[in-house]
Amino acid sequence: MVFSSLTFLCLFFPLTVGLHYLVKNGTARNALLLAASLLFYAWGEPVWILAMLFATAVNYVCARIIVNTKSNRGRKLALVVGIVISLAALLYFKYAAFLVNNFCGLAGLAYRMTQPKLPIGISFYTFQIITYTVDVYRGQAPLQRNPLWLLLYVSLFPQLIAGPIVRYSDVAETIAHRQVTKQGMGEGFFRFSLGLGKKVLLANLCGEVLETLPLPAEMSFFSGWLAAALFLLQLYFDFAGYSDMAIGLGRMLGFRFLENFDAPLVSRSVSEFWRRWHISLGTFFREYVYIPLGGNRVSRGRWIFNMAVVWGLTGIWHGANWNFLLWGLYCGFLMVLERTVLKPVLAHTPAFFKHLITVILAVVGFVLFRSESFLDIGLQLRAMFAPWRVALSDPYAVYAVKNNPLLLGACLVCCLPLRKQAVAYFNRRKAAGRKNALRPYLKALLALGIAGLSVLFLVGQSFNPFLYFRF
Amino acid sequence: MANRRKKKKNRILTAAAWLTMAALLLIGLYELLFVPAGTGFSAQENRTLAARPTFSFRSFLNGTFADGLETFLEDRFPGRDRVIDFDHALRQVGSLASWEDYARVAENDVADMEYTEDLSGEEPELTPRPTRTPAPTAAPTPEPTAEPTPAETAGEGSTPEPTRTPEPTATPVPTPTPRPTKAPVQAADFPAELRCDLLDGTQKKRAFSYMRSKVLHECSLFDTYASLLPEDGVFVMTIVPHSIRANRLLTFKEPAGIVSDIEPFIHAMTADNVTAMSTGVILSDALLRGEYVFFRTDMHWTPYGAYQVVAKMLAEAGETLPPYEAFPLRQEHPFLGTIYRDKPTRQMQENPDTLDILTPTHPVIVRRYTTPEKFEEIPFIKEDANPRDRYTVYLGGPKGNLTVIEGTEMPSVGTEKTCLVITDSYGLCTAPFFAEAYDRVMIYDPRFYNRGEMGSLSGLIDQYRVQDIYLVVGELHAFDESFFLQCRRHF
Repeated sequence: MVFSSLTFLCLFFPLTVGLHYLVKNGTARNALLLAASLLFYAWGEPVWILAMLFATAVNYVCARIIVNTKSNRGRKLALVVGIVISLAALLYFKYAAFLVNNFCGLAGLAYRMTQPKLPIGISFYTFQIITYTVDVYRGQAPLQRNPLWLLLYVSLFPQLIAGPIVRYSDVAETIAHRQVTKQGMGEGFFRFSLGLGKKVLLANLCGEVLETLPLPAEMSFFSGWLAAALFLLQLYFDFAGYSDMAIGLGRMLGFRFLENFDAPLVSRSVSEFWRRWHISLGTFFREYVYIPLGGNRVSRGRWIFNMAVVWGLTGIWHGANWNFLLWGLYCGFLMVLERTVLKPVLAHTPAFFKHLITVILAVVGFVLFRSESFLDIGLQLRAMFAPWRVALSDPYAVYAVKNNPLLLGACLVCCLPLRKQAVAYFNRRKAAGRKNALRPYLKALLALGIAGLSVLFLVGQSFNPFLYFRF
Repeated sequence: MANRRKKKKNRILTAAAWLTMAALLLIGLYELLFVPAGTGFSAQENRTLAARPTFSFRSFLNGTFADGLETFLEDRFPGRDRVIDFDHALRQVGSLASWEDYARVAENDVADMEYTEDLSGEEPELTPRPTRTPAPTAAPTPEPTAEPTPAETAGEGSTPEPTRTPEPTATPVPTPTPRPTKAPVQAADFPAELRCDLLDGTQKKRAFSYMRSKVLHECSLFDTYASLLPEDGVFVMTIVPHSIRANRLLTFKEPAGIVSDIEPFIHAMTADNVTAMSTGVILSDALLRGEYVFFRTDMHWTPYGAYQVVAKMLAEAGETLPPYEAFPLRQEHPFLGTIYRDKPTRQMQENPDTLDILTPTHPVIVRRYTTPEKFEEIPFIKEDANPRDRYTVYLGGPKGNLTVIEGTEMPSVGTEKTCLVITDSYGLCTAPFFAEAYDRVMIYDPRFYNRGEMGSLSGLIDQYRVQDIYLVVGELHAFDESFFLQCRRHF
């Protein structure tokens, strides 16, 4: 089930949140939430629930062994077993066909493995369950003795299928004791509406416009850049919208999830961009891969190696294809450049240019991310950087821009950190002793308007995939 | 005090949350409990709406229940038609695109469709032309020669038109006339890209084009259908340009005409009783005179344009049509059609079209068949047709397995003949004219035909003793991926 489906919005969402609010007993609440989460995950593809149950059971046992075993070797062994088994499932479903087929291709073998169907959200819940076992091993999180509550953490529906990746230590206390407040309901609903609007009113419409643009082989200079920029906007609003909805739903249910996006398109460096984009994934790789590898407190060569590993993994996490690996390494390479040879140059570059360069680099990066083959990448980059080889413009791009000025304008405005600025504005007014009487009404109107408009658009839209579903 | 204000603020947002959730839940429950479980039909979208899925353990496990429920909730959303209108209107807000921008994209769309064809140069083998039995007048297929015959490559304007001995005017029992054998021509004598071009006096501008290999592939289909006809039966086809392209001709400073090598190619490559005509060429003079043969705000031709082309097509079967004025006519004005609906502009709003609504000169009955035995009677003119697509007043739009028009008294026009019209929406306004020449007109749109329910089309052709077949199809459907493929499947 996805948040932007009518099944979710008209049935699952009001029933689950309403019942959860009405039930006052903590255990009953958890039981209700667990049942709802399992139904949410099972909706459409119930068989994959077994993979999630298996991963949870393995890590539950491993964590218990870690806590109950005194020998360091035994604890380590349990940790490794938990991680390896979790990753093995991910490896099989997501990467086995890619690895086998590439190997067979290189070895000249005719055998080709069929890509197994990917269980929804496996990349997200696998990482979540790993954080549990590792945090228990490190002593940073308490052991969860009730396997059902551990399953609730793994399957918690707001963040189950597309993140944010929530660390067990961040929600352990909330699972045991949480309060569902009126304030949480209101604020959560506001956030959920914003996310729904980003997804339905911006990301989906960007996707529709993108679909009307030519394929890479036929792109003009203008449509090449337009397609690249539109894809970045679509991906950003799609994923940030989902994260907003997850955070909002979590708030309505008494959880507080950490932010996953922080207006990345206003960044002034690639490093800053990645501190603001998919924050939970960046945190995971930093905490569980980069720092254990030695981080930046090593020799320069080793540090570059660490960066390559982390960014290679980040790329390949998004999908089993060479273009994702290339994209990950591209990001890592830029960051290494930024922190080494370009550091003195960037220190004296005006902020505007730094911002412009970052956006251009991000747009180019997502060309690698989107394209399905190296040929497509080459063709689109040729259109973008060799205008003398292609036409300067084409009717599709002109029509797309002229027909959608409001959408494009809204996208640009919504890339700004508006929510933060609005909060700061109202706080300044408050500090100056002025009343913010209209603020609650504005928020309520905005939430109602966006939610209503989104539902109406959903009815007429057949184009509604969540891009991050496939990861 | 501050605490009270905070509480008030919370109350408002919380109330908004509960209000929204209650409204959404009510909509969901209403759809589940009160919307009829069976399928519905959307006139606006011209499609069947989903039925409520039945829950079973199996359907839940394989995901069909989840998919079905989502489609049902979307399709049967309260006030769906208005919601879609609203959605559509909202998307147009702030648009700066002009009609010309839209036309340029539409033009390129067709070009893209054509150029995605296989350009490897390999052509499918020409399927042996079917021979009719008995075929005393049908000449055997000649051996191809390397040189095209001038008679086949020259014609109206610079466009070759088929040379054919005029058929005698219709008589109750037509006497078979020996049909001249087409001159032998090779496919390779024609260009790889077959084009219909607009001439502006100094240069050619492509109206639309198809790859030769694709067209050649379909010639065998036309031959196969033509082989089912009696020996004096004819298969006459035409491809109708999108009105956007036809109207462009009027914007040229020195308009000169239209040329096409698509229809001459089809004519040369098919059996003797197959004739291909170019709508553009037939209407070329009318277009240059600025006659009202294509709409400005709708993608279709006008009934008047259709009349002129159908008159030529009927002449191939030896039939004549009464003057246009002889048909009972009323006009709807202003008429804003599908182009306006998709891309409303002030320019179009200020120059609306006029829709001629014609009926046959004699009373007819129209049946829409769902199976060979089951049908419903529908009005020839559907007065309550979708206001957003008034062109569908003719027969209620292109839908249904098969639509049959007959005189209330048979024989109605005295020809005792039946014709089959293979068509898409462009054929709707030809109905009054075909009904004037045939006692029974069968209208078949491959996009909506269900072979499982109706049986094979060849069976129906036999059963109804179809005398002639007409193919009237818009350029966008003509050689797309599915239209003729469906014709093959339904055969």
